[in-house]
Amino acid sequence: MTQCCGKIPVPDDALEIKKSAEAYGRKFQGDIGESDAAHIAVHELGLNGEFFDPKHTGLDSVYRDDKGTLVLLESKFSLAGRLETTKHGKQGSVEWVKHKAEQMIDPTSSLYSPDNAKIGEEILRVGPERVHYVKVHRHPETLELRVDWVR
Amino acid sequence: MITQEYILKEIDRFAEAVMKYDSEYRRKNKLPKNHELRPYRWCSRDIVFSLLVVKHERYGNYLYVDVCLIANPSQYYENSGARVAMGFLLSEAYKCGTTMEIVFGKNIEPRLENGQLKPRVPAYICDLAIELEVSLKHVFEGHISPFEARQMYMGLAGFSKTTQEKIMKLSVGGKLTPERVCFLVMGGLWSLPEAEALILGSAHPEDVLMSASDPALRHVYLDDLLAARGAVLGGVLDRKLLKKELVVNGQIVESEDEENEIAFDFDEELYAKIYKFGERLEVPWVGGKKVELSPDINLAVLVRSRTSSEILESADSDLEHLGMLAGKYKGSVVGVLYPRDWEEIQQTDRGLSLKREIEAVGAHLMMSPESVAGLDKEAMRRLETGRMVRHE
Repeated sequence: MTQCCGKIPVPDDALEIKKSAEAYGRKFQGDIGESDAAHIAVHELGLNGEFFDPKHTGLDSVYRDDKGTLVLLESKFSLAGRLETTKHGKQGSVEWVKHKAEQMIDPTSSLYSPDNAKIGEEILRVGPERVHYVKVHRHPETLELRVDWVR
Repeated sequence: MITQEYILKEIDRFAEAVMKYDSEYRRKNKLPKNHELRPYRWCSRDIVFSLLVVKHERYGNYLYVDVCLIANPSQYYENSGARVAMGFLLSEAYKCGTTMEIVFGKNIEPRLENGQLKPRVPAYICDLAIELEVSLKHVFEGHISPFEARQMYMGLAGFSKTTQEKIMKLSVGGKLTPERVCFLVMGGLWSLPEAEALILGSAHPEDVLMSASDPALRHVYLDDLLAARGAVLGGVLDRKLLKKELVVNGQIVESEDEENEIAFDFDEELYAKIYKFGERLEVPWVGGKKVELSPDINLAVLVRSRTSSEILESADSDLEHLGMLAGKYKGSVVGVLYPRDWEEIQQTDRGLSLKREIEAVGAHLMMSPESVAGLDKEAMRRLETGRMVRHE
């Protein structure tokens, strides 16, 4: 991992940080991918949106198919577009979905909100292996679209 | 909930703290006291991980956090921002002499409760606590208790279970506090594998880690120095193995950002280091031979920080231990690591025969570029630096 260094900043540092926060917010590139994926989910995959608060390191969005099964959607707007491996398994794996669902129902976690808690409870109730997981990858240069039903 | 508006407001408060620091200290060429607010930013290149403003609150003897903004850049490990922030907050709490309690100010991720704004422990720190399996009981009161802080500190430092048990045993005996060991590791005085080698492999790790022995008490100090020297030699090998050499246009380029993927283990019975690799590597310092390592082949190394005369004197015992190591870690590449002092005896009859005997066991003789004199100098520096760190 890249070295992370700490220092007492000078006023110019603080102004630079403020400028980029105002310009880009928290997650510029991710937002593009997510709004694109939302369009595809509704208009091309025929999914119905669920009440869900997308957080920074959780699920990107949640839908339901016509049988009522939850569909977790991961949007990628990057060159590789691969699912990352974390300490709790690969993104989209049963272990990873279970961990995220547990975080969504934990009021101390950053993934918690009343809507997310309902989804988290449902995932744990039906079993993380019984929800679908879809990756929507848009290549940022060629704009080629690829939809993978991981589960 | 963290909103864009909240982030921008907190960045404004951070910028204010920076301006105030600049006018009150930097321009006057003064340094602030621990109990005065100080802003810190943690970055890697141009990516911000955390912005913090902290001070030591003397009356409650805790660390007060006035601004705490944490990012979780998606291209880094999960909870990397919280790791950076908590690593700093815990080390600062220890350095300032607090009870290790951390209290978050009223503006931190506030929520409305009974008409009043109340802070909380930042959500990303809670995610990290979940990852480290530490239960935080005062999240919505906005503080982390000393007990929880200690558990998080141990988790962040990354000690193995065996080492944690030994540290706790020393702590119960009143010989060493876990916070001090964590501080020495997080502060970079000892790397994690070096500290584990000291804790598991030396008779009195508390003396070394507390820098307790006075050089005037020669024998006791030398005992500590020998233990420290062994850990330093092991650390030299760790760093050599970790270092990734990239070839660009036919030239070897070192990158500080890229390291080889290695898991460390320590055999306390034989004082040996066991390395497991995530990629293909070559065993260093084996005199030009090409010995390959891979994810299926581990490396087991006896670390012997001896002078040339000590090598000759302990040859039989080293050979015996090498045989035991080869038997214990079958399928691994086995070696014995000596400092550069080996050069002084390598062409003597005993040196040549010892090398043959090592090879007969199926092991490799590894010679570090560091000499005992250099290792001792570094070990003494670390013992001296440790003397300046809080002693409890």
